[in-house]
Amino acid sequence: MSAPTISNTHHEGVVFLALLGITLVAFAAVAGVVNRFRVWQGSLAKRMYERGQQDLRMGAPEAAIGDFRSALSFDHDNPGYLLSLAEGLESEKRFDEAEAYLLRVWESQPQDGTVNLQLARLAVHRDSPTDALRYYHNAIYGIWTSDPVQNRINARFELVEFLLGRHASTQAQSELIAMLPGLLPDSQLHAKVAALLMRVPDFQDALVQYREALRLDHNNKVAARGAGHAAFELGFYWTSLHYLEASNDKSQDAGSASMIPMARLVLATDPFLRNLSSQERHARMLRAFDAAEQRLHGCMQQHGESPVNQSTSGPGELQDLDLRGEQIKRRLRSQSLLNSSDFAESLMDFVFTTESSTQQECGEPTGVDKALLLIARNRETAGQ
Amino acid sequence: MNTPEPPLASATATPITIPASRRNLITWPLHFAFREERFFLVVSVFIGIFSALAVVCFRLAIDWCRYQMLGPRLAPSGVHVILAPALVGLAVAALVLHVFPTVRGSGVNQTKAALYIYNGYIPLRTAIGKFITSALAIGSGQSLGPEDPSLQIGAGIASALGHRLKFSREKLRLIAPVGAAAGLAAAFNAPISAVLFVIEEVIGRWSAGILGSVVLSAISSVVVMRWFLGSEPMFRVPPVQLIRPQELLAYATLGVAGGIAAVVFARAIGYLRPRLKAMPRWTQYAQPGIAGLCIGLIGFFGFPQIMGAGYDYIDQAMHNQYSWDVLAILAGLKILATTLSFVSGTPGGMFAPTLFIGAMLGGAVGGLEHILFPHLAASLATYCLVGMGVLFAGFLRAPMTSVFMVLEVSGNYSIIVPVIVANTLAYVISRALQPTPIFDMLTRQDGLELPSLEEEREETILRVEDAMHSPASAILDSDESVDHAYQRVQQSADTTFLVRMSPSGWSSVDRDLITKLRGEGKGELSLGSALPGKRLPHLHPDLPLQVALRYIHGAPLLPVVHRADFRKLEGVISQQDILNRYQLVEKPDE
Repeated sequence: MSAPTISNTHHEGVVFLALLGITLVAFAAVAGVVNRFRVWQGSLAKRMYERGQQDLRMGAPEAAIGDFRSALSFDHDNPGYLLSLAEGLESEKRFDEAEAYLLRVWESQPQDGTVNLQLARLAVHRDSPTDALRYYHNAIYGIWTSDPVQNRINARFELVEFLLGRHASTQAQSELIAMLPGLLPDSQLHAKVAALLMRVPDFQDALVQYREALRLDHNNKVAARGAGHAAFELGFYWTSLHYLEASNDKSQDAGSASMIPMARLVLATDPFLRNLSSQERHARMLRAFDAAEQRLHGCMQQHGESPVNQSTSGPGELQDLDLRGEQIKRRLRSQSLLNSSDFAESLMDFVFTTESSTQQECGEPTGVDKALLLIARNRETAGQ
Repeated sequence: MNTPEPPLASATATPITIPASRRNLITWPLHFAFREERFFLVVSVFIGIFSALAVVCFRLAIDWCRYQMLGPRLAPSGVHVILAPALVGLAVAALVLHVFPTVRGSGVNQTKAALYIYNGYIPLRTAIGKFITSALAIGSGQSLGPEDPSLQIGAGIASALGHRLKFSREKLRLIAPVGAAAGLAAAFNAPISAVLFVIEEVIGRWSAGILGSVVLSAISSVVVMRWFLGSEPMFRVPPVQLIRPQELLAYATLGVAGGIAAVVFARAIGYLRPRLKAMPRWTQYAQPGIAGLCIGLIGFFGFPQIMGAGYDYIDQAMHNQYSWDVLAILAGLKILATTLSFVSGTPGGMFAPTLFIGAMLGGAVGGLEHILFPHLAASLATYCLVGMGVLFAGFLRAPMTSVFMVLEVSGNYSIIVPVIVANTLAYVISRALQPTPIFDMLTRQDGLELPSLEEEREETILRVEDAMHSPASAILDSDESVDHAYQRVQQSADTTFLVRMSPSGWSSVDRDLITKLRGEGKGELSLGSALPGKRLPHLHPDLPLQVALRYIHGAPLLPVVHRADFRKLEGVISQQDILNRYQLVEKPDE
């Protein structure tokens, strides 16, 4: 190659400038063409998308899927089109395909609440709890274009339902407690949270939420019934009766309906209630003892065991109890309960032990026995 | 350690000197900036930009043709699915036969032929013709792709620019591959793959001289293309997690299947193409139309996916739209459709169909493996992606490009291990069953003989160590006296002796010169000071033998020295040694 000369250099400089000029002109021309083409493609994509939405509304998801795909061929990464396509595929139960498209949107918009919620649902469908939890949490803390508060709450409810379905009560409880501070002042919402807390079960927090729901709306029968239920489970029978009677409507379920007489029976049976006279307290204890003895004998009979005084064989657990009952009965003949609080305690311990053992041996009790069992459970809970 | 000597290659570089009188403050920087080498680099950037602009327009043209001929629906239906490719096929045939006779085929071989046969010349008319006919053919549903035509369009633009700028013949020859890389990079949105492909398939050999220009044009082209069409990778798949190394076996299976499919595809083209070309000329008007009709019928009867380049359908396959059996059928039908389109002489590329076949085959193999082994962790999209690389390696026989292509079109580097495993297997199987690569086969069918990187890999490279021999005569030292050297040479029958110079380097001396020096009364002098200053070039055992030929001229023998110790003699080599070794290669039986 020969050594360059000034004229060569100048020539190359001119060529460079000319190329630069041509580039600018060509760039502008192509940009114009591309923009016009994009606009045209965009209108085609929109047309296909709208047709797809129409198909979806008319109950033709297969046609809608085709339209959404066509729309996407003009506008490859439009998240709206991708989401609609995924929805269409989900409605056709083509979950794998739907998930693949959702993941594509997720890659570009990992914080999008809608996408994460749909992915979570698909993860639930394919029984992948780890992914489901991840996507649900992404949805709860993600970005929602419309009504973010309500959407986040709904996502959390779905997550709790999912956890309860998998018997992950502790996690479900944590999720519910985490949402309490941000809960809107909406009676229905608080009642829903309370209902989920009941399923955990977390009766204490459920009662608080039912009360909040009732504070926001006194006429919320569902909340009143729930509060009655929660109070019943917590052993607050007066409160339970109060709420259950307040919610006494025709729509009441069988469970709630049976709670009212049971609450009344517990209140009529419980010898440990405050404000009872000594005579009344002791009378209740004696009635409880009689009921327990009857239940014990009935249960022994059911098991083919004879009372201790008729038995020839060695003592079983029920027979031990019967023996203990006989001893209390003998003691009752010589000593009043009024004179010895230890004796009264021992008698009630026998009653509670008997009701508990017979429940295990002979099944769920009814009536007074059930009331005594509930009282026993409350005493135990209170002792803890 | 000895002082390192300048490398041998530097001896050949001739610096360009600028006359001092011309060197002033205004022109000096321009002299530097616009030496032809550097100006060529600058022009490479412009080639990249122009090629990208052309490719952007080309892609829009294909899309526009498609909408006009097949309608806006992704899966076209109706009678125009049959009519469009058939009628456009007839029109394209007429254009190819009468207006643009040089636009047949994919464009890769034509570009390569331009480089090696036509001094880098590709008429601009060819690039324009390729643009028009390929856009019509692909848009109408012929089973061909836009990448290879983009490569030729880029090469055509580069060639036109080179001729307009009156570059030297050497540069003109190189300019077509520069444009080819730009065109391919824009079409694929993959600069590394484009550079590698142009080196592997168009240039056919590694050439450091052109690498800078090729890379610059590819990069500038991709930048422009992304400016207009976006920078998103062509396909997106979730990251691959190889939970168990045994999962590589699943990809290895795909490699085997891909290798076999590639051979079937290549043999079908290799068998049909010369037969169709040999048919009477009038049939060539009908061949693209008949191919279009067949493809239209396949599309009409339930498989419109095989029409056109098919990228949207690859995307669908990656999103689990098809079951494994449908994917397998699509792979088979695409082989058939592409073979028909290509052998009929319809202009268009084979890259996109190769990727389509690979993706469908990968999906089919992956889907089947998922049924048989449900614990496999990889998604179907991963198999599709690996499948694309597999067919690329097996059919186009560009193993390095195939790996980088998969990485670039997906932007996913977690997939590299499965891709390498599967591609290597496909490449090895394809090479074993189909020794001639597809592009070489096509050039030979056209009566051309062009260099091939694969053949170059096959060639036995002779090295200096294959021809050198141990020094029989004494090695003299520059520190010893002429008298001493004289006594030593008397004990030898040789006439020429190597002299180890101090502190480094080698020289030679013959018996007569030592005798003469002694006669001149220089017997007491050291040999180094008595000898003329000329030094011998030295060689290393691993250098190609042809390098030795370049330096042996004028020297009876050359020292072959250790690379880390230039004073350590490994052997000596003479011109006769080199010629003897080459004769052995030409007459292996002897």
